[in-house]
Amino acid sequence: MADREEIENADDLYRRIHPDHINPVTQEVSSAAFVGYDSFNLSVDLGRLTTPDICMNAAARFQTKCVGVAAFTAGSARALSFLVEHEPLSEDHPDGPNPAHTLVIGEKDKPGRRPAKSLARACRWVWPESMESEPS
Amino acid sequence: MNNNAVRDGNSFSNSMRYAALTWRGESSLVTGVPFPAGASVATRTLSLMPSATSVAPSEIVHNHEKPDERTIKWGELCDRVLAFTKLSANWDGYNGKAPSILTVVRAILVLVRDCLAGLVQSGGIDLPCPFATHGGDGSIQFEWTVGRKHFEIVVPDDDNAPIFWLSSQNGPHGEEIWEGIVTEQHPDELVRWLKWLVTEK
Repeated sequence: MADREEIENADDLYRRIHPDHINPVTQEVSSAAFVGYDSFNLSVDLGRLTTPDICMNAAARFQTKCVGVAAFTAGSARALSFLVEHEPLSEDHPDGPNPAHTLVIGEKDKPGRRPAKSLARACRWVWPESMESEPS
Repeated sequence: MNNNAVRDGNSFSNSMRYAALTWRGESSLVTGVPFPAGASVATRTLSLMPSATSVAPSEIVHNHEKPDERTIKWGELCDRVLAFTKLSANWDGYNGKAPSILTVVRAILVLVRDCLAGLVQSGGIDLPCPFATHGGDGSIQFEWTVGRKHFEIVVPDDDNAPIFWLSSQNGPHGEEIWEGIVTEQHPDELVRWLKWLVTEK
């Protein structure tokens, strides 16, 4: 397994956005895009160890749909009381290898979806590059 | 998902379509249940809400008027929510899970029973069709945006977890946020927020 990196507040964290999370009327990203499988751990990629293209192309590897990649900084997540920890995935991992894999840790769902909403507010598009407007 | 679940799901979808069709009391009729003269649309609509005892499917007769755009949208919403159960495992590449059929039932129930019926009882306010989406944890989320006002209802994929709502004043990710839980003890609170969304400036 790759060494774990110290993550700086200025580091970008990437998250693929599924088409079901784009409101067709407002064209904005739903806070549901920032609720992980257990509402506690949110998987993202550490920007300096990957590229928006690689993050986007992983969708094909998992045979999932993706309309773009959004980014927010580790500092903005920490400001919302989340922990940000580099958790690289080795080749033996079902979703690996992914040396950039990082977890944003903390409750995003209870008592409301306010934390996930705050992450949505903090993010911006990094793929495609031509999408200039911010997701939120 | 087994065949029974699919069949039940389709049947459920049809009944929800029926609820949407009858929401305005305009597009369908129930034979043998004449509306009292002078009854309000609100009363008629409530009497048409699906119930286990009042209306047998064989009693439902649809007229041949083309359903209006609003009716179609609510029907499409039900279909969209039902389709969430067919998402594959790891649908997002982040180990996301699909909402269960029970979560879909809870989600549509909260729309019909708590939102639509609640608004009918409080004066028949026209509620726009929400945007429906789902979280990686199998939750279902309804979102309304009216001007700068935004309102969400989140149905967790856990029968024991409460359904909650969230509203903000300055767009979908506005800073001013209020939140609460949908409870049988305080059904008026949800209706009050929906009225705020639709009617107040």
